[in-house]
Amino acid sequence: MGAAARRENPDAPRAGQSPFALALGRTFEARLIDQSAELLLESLQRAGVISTTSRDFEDHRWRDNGGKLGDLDSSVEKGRLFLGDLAAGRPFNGVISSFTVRIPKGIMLPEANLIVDVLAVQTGGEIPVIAVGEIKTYPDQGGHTSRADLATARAQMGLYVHALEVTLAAQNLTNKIKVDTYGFLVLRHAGSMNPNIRAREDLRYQRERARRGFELMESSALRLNGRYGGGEDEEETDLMDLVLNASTSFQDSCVAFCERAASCYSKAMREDRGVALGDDVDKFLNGVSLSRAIELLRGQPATNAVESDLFQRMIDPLPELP
Amino acid sequence: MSDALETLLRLRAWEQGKPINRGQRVNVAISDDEDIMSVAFLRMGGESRPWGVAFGNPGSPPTVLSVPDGRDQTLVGDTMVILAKALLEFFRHPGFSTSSPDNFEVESARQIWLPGPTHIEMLHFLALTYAKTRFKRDDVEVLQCLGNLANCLYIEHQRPGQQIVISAAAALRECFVFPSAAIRQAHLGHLLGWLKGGSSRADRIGAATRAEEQSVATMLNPELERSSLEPLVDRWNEAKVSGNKTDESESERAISRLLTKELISRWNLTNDAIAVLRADQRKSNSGLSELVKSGARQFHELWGSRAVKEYDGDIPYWPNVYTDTNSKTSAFGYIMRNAANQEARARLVHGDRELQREQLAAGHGVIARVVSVSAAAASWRLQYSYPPLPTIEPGDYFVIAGSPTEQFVVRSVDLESREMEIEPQWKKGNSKANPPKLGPTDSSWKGRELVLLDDAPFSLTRNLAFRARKRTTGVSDILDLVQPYVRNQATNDELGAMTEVGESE
Repeated sequence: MGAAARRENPDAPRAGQSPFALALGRTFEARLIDQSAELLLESLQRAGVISTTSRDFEDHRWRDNGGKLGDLDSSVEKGRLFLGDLAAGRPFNGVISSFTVRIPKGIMLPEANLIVDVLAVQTGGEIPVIAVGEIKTYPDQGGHTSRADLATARAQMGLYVHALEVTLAAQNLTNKIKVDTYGFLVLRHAGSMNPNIRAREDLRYQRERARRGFELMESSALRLNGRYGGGEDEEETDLMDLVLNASTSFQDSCVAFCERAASCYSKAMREDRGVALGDDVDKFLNGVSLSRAIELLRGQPATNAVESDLFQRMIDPLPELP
Repeated sequence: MSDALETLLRLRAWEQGKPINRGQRVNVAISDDEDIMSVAFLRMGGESRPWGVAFGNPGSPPTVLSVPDGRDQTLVGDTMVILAKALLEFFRHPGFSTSSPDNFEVESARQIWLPGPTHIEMLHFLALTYAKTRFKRDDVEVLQCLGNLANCLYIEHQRPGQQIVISAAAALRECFVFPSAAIRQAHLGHLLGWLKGGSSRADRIGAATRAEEQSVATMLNPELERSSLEPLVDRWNEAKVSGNKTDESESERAISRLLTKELISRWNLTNDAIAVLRADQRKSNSGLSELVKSGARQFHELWGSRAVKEYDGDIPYWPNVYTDTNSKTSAFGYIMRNAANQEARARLVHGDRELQREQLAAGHGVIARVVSVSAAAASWRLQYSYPPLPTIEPGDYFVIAGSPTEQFVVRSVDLESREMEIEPQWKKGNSKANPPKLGPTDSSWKGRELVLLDDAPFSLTRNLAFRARKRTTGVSDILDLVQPYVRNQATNDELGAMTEVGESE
């Protein structure tokens, strides 16, 4: 959406992330897996994610992410081989950093690579169990941690659970390795570079949501008949036009994350739509324009049933005091 | 206020092209300048400790502190010690002031004003960072005191009706209805743009939109960090390693200049909000003084008494910085907040007729005419006109709007004839009172039309909270059946694994 926003307005601010936050993220992740992930393993043991005797660690990061593997393909291959070995009985109790999976190509969608920040593996039971973990650099505020941030992290983890299940199915390993539907979050302790672990994050519904999302994306891609791009600034004009001319559904939540929110807001203002004053106003007006609502407030008669209904709802609901 | 009413008010504000008054009174307490500590924070991207802070009374230039690199624990700690001493003195901590929190009944009420929600959140970050810090430095106790004060301020901020920790943006929203989406109203500059941005709707929208382009949160605009601050911070770090003192001090000054400008801008916006509210033509709600007194007592229980105890050498139990982990403590907190909500409503509604209208529309009272006053039995017959179908029941308590000491208990209600019989609970009038108070059997009540409001039993609700917290040994208390919370988490502070201490049973 950033590319589309800049096509609409070359001066549109880039949402971007703080360079300090990005650097901190890299440092934090590196610290977690430093010295064979000693700190991460100990913390995960204490949180009950892995058994207290789990000591195994593998680093699947590729060079661009600070690892030793040559490229992304090497990470994917290493992940694929690992799952095969695990299903074949390789004992492994511990964690893997940057476990990378490649979701096979759909009918229309291209293949997709997903990097799971931390994969916890336990092979002590009947079949091996793998659990996804997500590293976030924001501080753990206990019961006061932003619900929106947690929801985003859980949605991400749900996607990883689905991706691992798809990958196992593609490798015919579905019944040989279990993907745990409980994941874990690795947050930072405020004011330090040490982790706080939040285990037992229930991902069942987020996994289902991800599965449904993939189905919808596939059907959308089918409708586009192969015309999709990578969202870069130098995207072909006709593809970008497709995005720019697609209908949008501007709402309050857009302001928080979408780089096109400013232009969609201006458009809502130009079109005299209630959503410019918020989702609740849009719903309240039920399709009546803002200026028409003001005219009704000022005493102009309603001209149809929708306006009559709105007029009734706009009458002061508060009693007159004696 | 109902959501539909809020939406309607926003449309009216849009129709007028400017913010409109919410209520007939200003329902936010504003202390005198010397009793306000206005504070604004900045933090480096990703960090939770402050990179800089501006603080001071609104009438004087602020103290502005910043460090060249917000990741430097020691430098940040040094500035936080300075902030700690100022804040602890301001809130009359016995170790840092000549007064004591124990004097809350006679001393003036103090407030901390912050620009908005992210600055309030910074109080929690200070609590998480310093309340239980094991950071080894000489003045670590000062930081721990700051952490506990910040935690109590953060908790206090969540209590309905509190008047100690004020978000300037929330205070403006409490007093005005703004014609813009709720999500945009968290931005203090946006709100002030609407209030002070010109005379036409277009001017005001323009001012509000331009203001939104400037960050007022604790985080800086990422572009400013990338283009200006990151190179300076890198230069400062490199100079420090290489021992280039000139470069080190030059880059430090340049960073300080940039951060100071940003801090002052946030601090000034907060004080602009205070000035706007002080300049409002409306009077302050007469119920605020009681609310302020009650809040002072409750904040003393939360922080002051513990600070004094700690200063005297005892070990107080400070609230957990993460959450309540004990079912009884959680139940206590929940019911106490209900009581606080009832109290805030009860204290403010008598001073603001607009709030009375809202209370009536929400079913918390009736409009009624006195049909008869019985001299002998001290009972009144009333005919109510609003609402058509009230939820009144015999045994309910009501007070006359604007006169909370004139209380009644309902004896009977006839929904067909819309009549009710009520019994006044006060015994005699007071002609010297201002306004004079009539006795319950005074015949001049007859024929008057009155607004009667629910008498919110907040003191009873508070008693209920204390009962919920009380330890029991039987099986009659549902809270005893709640399984102890099983932690599936591991916590590490700056020195490593932390022993997690739950709430005392």
